[in-house]
Amino acid sequence: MGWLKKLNYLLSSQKGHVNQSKKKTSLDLPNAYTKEELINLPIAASLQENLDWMTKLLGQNVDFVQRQFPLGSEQPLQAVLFYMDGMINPEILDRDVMRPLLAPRPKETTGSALLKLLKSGGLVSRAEIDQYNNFHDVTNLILTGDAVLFVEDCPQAFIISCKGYQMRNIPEPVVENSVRGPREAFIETLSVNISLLRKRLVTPNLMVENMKIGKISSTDVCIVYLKGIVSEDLVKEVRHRLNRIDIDVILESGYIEQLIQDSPYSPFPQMLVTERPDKVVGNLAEGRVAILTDNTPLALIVPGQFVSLLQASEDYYYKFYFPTLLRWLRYTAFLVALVLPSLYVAITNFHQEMIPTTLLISIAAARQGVPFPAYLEAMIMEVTFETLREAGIRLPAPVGQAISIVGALIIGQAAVQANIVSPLMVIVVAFTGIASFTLPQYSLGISVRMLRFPLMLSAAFLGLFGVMVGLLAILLHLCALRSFGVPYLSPLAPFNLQGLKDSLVLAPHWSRKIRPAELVQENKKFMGNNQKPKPPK
Amino acid sequence: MRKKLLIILALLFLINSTGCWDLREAEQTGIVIGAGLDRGKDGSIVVIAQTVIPQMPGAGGANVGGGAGGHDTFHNWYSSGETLFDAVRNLTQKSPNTLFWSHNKIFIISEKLARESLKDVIDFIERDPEFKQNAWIVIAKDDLSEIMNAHGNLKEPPAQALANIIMIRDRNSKYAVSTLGEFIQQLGNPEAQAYTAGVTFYKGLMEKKNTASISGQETERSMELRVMDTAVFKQDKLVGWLNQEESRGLLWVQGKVKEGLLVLPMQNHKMIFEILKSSSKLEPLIKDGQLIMKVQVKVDGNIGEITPGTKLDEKHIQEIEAQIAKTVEEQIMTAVSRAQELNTDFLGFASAVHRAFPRLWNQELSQQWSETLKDIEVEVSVEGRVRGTGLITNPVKLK
Repeated sequence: MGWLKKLNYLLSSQKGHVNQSKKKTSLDLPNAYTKEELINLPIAASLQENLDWMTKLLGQNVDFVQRQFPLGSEQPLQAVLFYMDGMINPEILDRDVMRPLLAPRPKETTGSALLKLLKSGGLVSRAEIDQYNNFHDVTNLILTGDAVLFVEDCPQAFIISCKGYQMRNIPEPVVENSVRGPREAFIETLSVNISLLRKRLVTPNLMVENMKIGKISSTDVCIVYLKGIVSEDLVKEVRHRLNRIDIDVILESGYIEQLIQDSPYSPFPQMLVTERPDKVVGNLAEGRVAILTDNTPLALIVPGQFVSLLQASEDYYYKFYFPTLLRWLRYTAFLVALVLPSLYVAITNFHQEMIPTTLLISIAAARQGVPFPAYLEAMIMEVTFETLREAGIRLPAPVGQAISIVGALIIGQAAVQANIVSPLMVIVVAFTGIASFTLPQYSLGISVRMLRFPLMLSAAFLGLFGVMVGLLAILLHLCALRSFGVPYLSPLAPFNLQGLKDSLVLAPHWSRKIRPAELVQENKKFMGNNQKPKPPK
Repeated sequence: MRKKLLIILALLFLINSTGCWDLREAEQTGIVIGAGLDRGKDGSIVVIAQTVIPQMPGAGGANVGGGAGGHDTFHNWYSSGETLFDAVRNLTQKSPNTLFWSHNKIFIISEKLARESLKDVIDFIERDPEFKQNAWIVIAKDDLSEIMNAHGNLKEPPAQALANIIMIRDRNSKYAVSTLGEFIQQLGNPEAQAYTAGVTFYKGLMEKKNTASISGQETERSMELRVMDTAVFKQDKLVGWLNQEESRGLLWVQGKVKEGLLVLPMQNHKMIFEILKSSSKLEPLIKDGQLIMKVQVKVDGNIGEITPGTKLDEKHIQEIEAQIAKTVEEQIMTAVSRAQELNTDFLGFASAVHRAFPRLWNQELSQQWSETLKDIEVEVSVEGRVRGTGLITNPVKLK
């Protein structure tokens, strides 16, 4: 909920200015301040002026706290500390900031001496203390949870980091669950997420570039990559695309995804979205770039190719036989989820010679008395399934179970008994639904579920021919698609033999020595030679 | 943008306007699994289309035999017409569902029609795409409509039962059968004649109605189907039947005996030889201006059954092998003499001769083949081998 809180502050601070407009003040600036105006507003030497400004900018907010105190026992200088209540850690503030500032010191007794010490970084025992000289930086930092100290006769503001807002504990992955592998997932706090990555990659080559996106929300967005592996062009391109963004508020990484992808109209996801730090690290090591957004427990990984959307991080933790089978299972599931209902419609309506006699007879038997043609039946069932799924997600957890019971009973049994749909269609739809959930990327599952509707329509009108036309159209689209310049279907098309080791099959780690060729130009080698284990002689 | 949308819409309508003209819902399809072809009294072609009645598994008490209370598993549609196509199209006057022939498993042709000629039926089943070439073709030795109505072999429709029986034909190897594709090829081949199995039915042991039998009262027995004997053709007409021995001979010559039993007439005991593998080779020779057909057959197998008390030693096995050779040779010779008697070359000797002596064949033999066939000398050499004796060697010695 961190983002909501933050947004509330932003909105309420704006509102505050609107209210203030009725009061006539000596400073006649517009009441909603743009970034440029604030940047051009320097910190004044007069404490009173600074105080007035701070009150004007943030004073209406209920969580805005100011604490005035004298600095030094002889010839004291007046000082004011500002912070946002709830975003700082009061313990740290008291112990590391207030106490050193107020405690009498034997040597430096005058205010100016203390100020000198403060400027040199010797007074406050917090590690992070900085000096800024415009109100943009000051307001920005105070709103992200730092404390700001103004001192009389000092045209600078001291920013003391004592962030202490509430954050979640590191949870277990919810969407990308695994049996084997680390049980850590990203949370909403960017710095924690970066620390999760740093923990896994102890190298100075791990670069984390920060930029602020969003005119109002000013959300921190980080580009993370491994120097020396990643292609420079890719990083440049990511930087360029992120810099292009000019939007008010970034609520989630989905905003960024939509604003930087290659083909905005494509139904297919063009980047990986993951909540698993280990998956991000694996992809960084392959030469991809991760984009972390503050207030989002998900990382974007670019470029995302089709085959990488079907890789789960868990694949790499098992011996290669099983993941290879799993990959094929997923490819099959992808096809099943995409075409099973349309194949069913096409074959039972147009190509009855293709199915075994016994199956045809049981289909005919199952459809006795069903009032709708097969394609309408399929449509009804698919829409019902999607409704159930959607309801299952949106419903509050305690009610959620009711949906599954009602869904299973009503759709599974009553509808069949009432002869509205045939039992075979229930099987087809259920299997299709389950297959779409086996895809490790949820977003790929969404596109597959979407695309099967037009396929079903074309199957209903043109039979298998229609299915083929539809599939060809999809294939053409996939071939034309690119993600950050990398062909979407690589390494399958354009073909790359080495790339097959991590797409069609998963080769054992000791035989996959080369990083994906479509991503990495230099430093291609993954591991040393002779890594295949052998028993001692 | 708007233009693009319009184009997409137009394309969509284009697809939709073709409609689903050949859409056919499964439950509105009459799935034909067997077709009977007969010659009517008035000279028309009679067709019997056997369709399945789709039933939910477990729905209703499907009684064996489909008697009262039980559901019928099939329905026969009768119709007649000038030719087969005419007759088939006339079926639409009766059947509420469009008949769908691609799942047809078997064509049953009445003996009467087969003896007259197949020319009124064979073109359509070859020409129409809905018929599948791998359907079986058999000749009804008994009344066609009774065969098509026979209940009794489980509760399957008779056509399905026949197809299933033919599927396991290798287990007995007592009749030779052809698929539609093979049969049509044989009919068109000038160097071979067609053959296929016959089907008949007999009073089985199964009671017709599933009623408790009152002791002493004769209950009605249901009719059961049986595939037996081989019909042989000369051109498009059926000319005779091979019995089981002769059919086996035909299969030996064609190398089609894959499994099956040989009952060996040993001197003092009974002995069954189980065939596991066989191969054959036709080798025409010309010796002293005489055409000699050499048939070489190799048979491998196990000792399947033997009278207890018999001693199985090396010598005895050699005897058995000699006996195998003799029996197989006899079976082949019966088929050969039958072929000579009927003067029809279902054994496929002609094509072997053509292949061995192409020039001679083209110059003279092809014109006078039926004369040559009548008194062609056939030399049969059989190599029988006992590969194993099963789990035991010597049978148990009964006290």
